[in-house]
Amino acid sequence: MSSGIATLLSIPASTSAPGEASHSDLQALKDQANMSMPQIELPEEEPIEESALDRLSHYPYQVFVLSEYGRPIYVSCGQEDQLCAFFALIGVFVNRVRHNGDMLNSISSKDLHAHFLFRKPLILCIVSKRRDQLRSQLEVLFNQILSTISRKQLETIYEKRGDNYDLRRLLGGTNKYMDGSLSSWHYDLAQISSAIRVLPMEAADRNALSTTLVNSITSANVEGMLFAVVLAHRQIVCLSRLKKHLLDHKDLSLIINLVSNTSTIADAAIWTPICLPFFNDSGFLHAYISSLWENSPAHLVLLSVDRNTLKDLHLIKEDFCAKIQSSPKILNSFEAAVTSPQSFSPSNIGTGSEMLWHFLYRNISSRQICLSASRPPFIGQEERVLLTRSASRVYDILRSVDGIRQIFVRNKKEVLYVKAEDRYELQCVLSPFCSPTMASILGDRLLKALKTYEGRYFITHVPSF
Amino acid sequence: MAPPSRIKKKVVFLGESGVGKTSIVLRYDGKGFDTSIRATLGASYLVSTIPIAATNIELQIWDTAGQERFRSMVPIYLRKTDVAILVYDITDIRSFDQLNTWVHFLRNAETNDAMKLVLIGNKTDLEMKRTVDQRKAIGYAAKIGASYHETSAASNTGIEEAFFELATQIVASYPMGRRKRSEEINSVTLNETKENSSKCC
Ligand SMILES: Nc1nc2c(ncn2[C@@H]2O[C@H](COP(=O)(O)OP(=O)(O)OP(=O)(O)O)[C@@H](O)[C@H]2O)c(=O)[nH]1
Ligand SMILES: [Mg+2]
Repeated sequence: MSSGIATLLSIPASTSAPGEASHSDLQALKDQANMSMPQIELPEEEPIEESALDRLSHYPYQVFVLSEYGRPIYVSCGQEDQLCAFFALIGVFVNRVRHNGDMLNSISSKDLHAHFLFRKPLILCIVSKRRDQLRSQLEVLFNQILSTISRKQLETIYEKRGDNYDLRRLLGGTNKYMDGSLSSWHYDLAQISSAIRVLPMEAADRNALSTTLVNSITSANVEGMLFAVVLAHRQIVCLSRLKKHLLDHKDLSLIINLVSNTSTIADAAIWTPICLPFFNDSGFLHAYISSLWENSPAHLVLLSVDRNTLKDLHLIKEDFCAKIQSSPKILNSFEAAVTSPQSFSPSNIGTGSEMLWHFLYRNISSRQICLSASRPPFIGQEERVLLTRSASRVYDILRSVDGIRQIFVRNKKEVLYVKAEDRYELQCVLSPFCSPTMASILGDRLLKALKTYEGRYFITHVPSF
Repeated sequence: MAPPSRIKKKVVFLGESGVGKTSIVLRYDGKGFDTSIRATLGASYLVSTIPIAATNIELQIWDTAGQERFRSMVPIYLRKTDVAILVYDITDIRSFDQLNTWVHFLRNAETNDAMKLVLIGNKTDLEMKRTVDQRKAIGYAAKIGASYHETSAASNTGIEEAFFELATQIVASYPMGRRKRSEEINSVTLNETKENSSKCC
């Protein structure tokens, strides 16, 4: 099956009209894959389907979600109904191997890679020209689906509604969140490093803000209130939580995806159920989402177990906003942090800093990352994309090979230096003239500087209420 | 008794996904018409104030999502509703046929006693694609005890009028004391169709 994927993208048109992959088609395809049946008769080729398949080959990647019964649910390029036969084929591949008591993970050819994830009752598949982090992308997408339909709902829906149930009915309107989940792998280093980004801010200012938030929450005393998050530009400004409860970074990244792909009406608040699978994958929490002032990139998210608390949570927000507005010191520092975020500048590390072009530091236990401010040559969109790709590849290597402590790669245009310890991982992009010794010295100096400014770039304390 | 200087009312928009509830609310809120808006998540809540004579009417507007997965939340959104605005799309007969489901939700919800009902047929700018006969819609509105309006969020017609009429009615319902006759008629009509509605003395 190893050369499979190239043919996979150019399989002939389906045995069914678009929009109806009936059970018998599925069986026919299964049998084809099985090769144990005599040739079956194919109806006339469907021109639409062919052009749809043709269209697929132009994308750098494509993601498919289907039910284990082969029914299309989502494809990242849209119009899944035109690709029924292709979906069915994915289902056949996965189910075939499953029936043999095994699991199909991936198929690779020279320049195309397919990865499969079976999470009953769903099958997820990514076909990509790149091979890094394919599984993680599917896992995060699956979490995204769970945030809309809890695991419990997902597990029982086909029992209740039959194998042929069209899950898109329940997922209606969530394509943008799935698209958002997938596209973030191409620009967001937090997603790539399975971590969250913290908005840089002086520790004292951040504390003042989170204390204010906790005060508003405690004085409202809303039964069922669990977590509060302030975020801006997909970065966390501050957090607080009910005593004894923790918000997993994976759940947090679902919240970030939700907020950044929702267009809020300037002064309107959103009240919606959401499942945070790492908190509780069988039930829903209720999220109150509101921007903090008109056209502000900063949002407040309040999570409650009680679906009747919208009004109370709205009062918390009003109170929080009023308190911020009445304290010029808090307001100014907050606004400055949000409107012109001050990322870590490599010049903080002193001499030799001009050789350090970019870095990504990841704290392993807190799952927080710190990025350097962008500087030449990593200013343009294209250069940033290259950076993201390189980081993605590094993470793949770190995850797949145990015990790597340091990596030094000299390319024509730059040097890549990676240091991995139990507590952190550091990736640096340096000038091509940098020696391994120099890279290591600069890396150490950077670590020291990050320690000095820890409070500004990381959240070290999450106050509870 | 003159109307109070400040009245608060909870207004809930209901209807199938895609009929234009959010577009109407945005238009009303002075945000123009945006074709790129996306399906509402859960419900969106905003407060808007209309001055009518000496009274400021604060409308607490809930723009709910029509998507199927939010149906279990509808009773929550409807709690203590003073005004329910049912919206359908005049070019989409299915959105009209589904109105019964929404009326059913309303009857079973804990709405306020004197709740007003408004039916809106939206997208009149697409008149040539109309599939829902206007007379039929007016008849249906009368049956469920709703006032009827046609609007277009795209071309901004009828929206201001609908809200203004609503606000005027709200204010008018005060001088005579809390309950005005038109309100009673509305709520009675709504209750009449309820199966086994208990007769009150
Ligand atoms: N031509 C036309 N299109 C409209 C009008 N109102 C809304 N639309 C379009 O209809 C689509 C759906 O509008 P929304 O306002 O999002 O519909 P909704 O009822 O809020 O949908 P949900 O939030 O999913 O329940 C959008 O593409 C709008 O641009 C209108 O008056 N005329
Ligand atoms: Mg809407």
